[in-house]
Amino acid sequence: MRRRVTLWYSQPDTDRADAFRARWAAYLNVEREAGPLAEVIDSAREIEEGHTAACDEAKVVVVLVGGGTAEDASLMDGLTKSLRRGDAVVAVCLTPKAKVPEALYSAGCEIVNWDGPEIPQACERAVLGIRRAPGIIEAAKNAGADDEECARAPTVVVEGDPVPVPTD
Amino acid sequence: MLPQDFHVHPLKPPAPPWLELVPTDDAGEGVLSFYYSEDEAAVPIRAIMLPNNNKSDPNIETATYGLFSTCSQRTRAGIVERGTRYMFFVTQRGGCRMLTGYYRLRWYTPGNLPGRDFAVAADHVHFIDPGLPLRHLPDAVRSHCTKRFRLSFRLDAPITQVLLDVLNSSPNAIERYLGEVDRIERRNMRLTGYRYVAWRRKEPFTWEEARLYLPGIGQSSATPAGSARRIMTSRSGKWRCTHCGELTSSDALLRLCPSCKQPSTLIEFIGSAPRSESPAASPPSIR
Repeated sequence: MRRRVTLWYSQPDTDRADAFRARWAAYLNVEREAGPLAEVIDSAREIEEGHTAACDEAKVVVVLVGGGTAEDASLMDGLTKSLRRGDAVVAVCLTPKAKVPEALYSAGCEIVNWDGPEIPQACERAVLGIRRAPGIIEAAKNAGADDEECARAPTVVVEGDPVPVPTD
Repeated sequence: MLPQDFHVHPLKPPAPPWLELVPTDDAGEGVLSFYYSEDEAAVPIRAIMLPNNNKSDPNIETATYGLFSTCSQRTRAGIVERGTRYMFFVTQRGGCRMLTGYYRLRWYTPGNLPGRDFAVAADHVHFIDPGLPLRHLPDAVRSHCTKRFRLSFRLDAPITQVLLDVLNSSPNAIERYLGEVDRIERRNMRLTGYRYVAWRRKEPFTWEEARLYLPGIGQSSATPAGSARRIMTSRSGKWRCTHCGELTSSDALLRLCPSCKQPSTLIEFIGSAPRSESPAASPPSIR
């Protein structure tokens, strides 16, 4: 079964988005594309709705990180919302010098290289991550975690049981 | 990405209180040690996000074992006793046990737990990507290494050499492991507000942090009187500090109270009363 993916990218990276879809077609089902938003959606409200619709059906959000991604306001806005929702997010660096948005870095998203062979595996790990998240967050509540910056907010969970983790 | 103080730090061996392991006739032996690994990581680093039991070992950031955690106390004591040079690591990943790396051990220092408690440190760390399933080991060692074990067991010198050869034939992926440790810590921070929830740590483990854990440097080497045997896991998943009274959630015993940073002050907490670890243990001051 191919993993469902929403692909986000900036307008200058459109060719790479096409190449991504072709390269990983056997493993990833790129169902929805949320970029380049600036070309098709104008108002802030529509941008928000567009992002929401894409996220709702997504199992993994793959962000293509190119030279201008960190400065793409609409993409960053959607990414921030997605991370806040607890979506599974994987970043794919298009060039070694691409600036990874701070939001992706601080959220601990896996960042893989465009040329790397691991993108489908990284997507699976990201899905595993959102399955585990509720248990980790719940355990942390009992441990007295009190930081308002943490994502102990509603978290998107894909179907399936939480992955069992061993106890020592 | 290497931690800032990875290469040089005044507390890093061979600086005191670290001591050289004394080789014995058994020094060519190794020890095979199991650790829980992080399924969410791209490489099998330790299970940093394990709920109520965040793992700090093997602590590849400092190339130590048992410095920050209380894991495998008997294994560490055996290493120091025999001057064991090699510690191999095995974990469960993708439905099978796999060999992931080794420490070449060189130093040790006493810890703060009762009994024979030591931390050990390596002068060389080698981890491979991907790990090698134990069933793929050479015939000469496969049956020995695939036997069931929970924490660790000793390896004779010939088997040790085979495992070294196997691991050294793959490139050292330690930089990737270190990068994943940092990433998974950031992810835990995002979800819980802490890199290590049980420790209430928002920072990575570093040599600077080791100051708090090294007897004679940042803490007293005194251990609780009369505590010949320490309870290492809590049935309630909670511990009470006998110094500050704070409750800590962790399945495993921590070396320091996360709240007051005092060493060796945690006792198991069950309901309204702590489980006494020895007749000499004082009652907790509950606040």
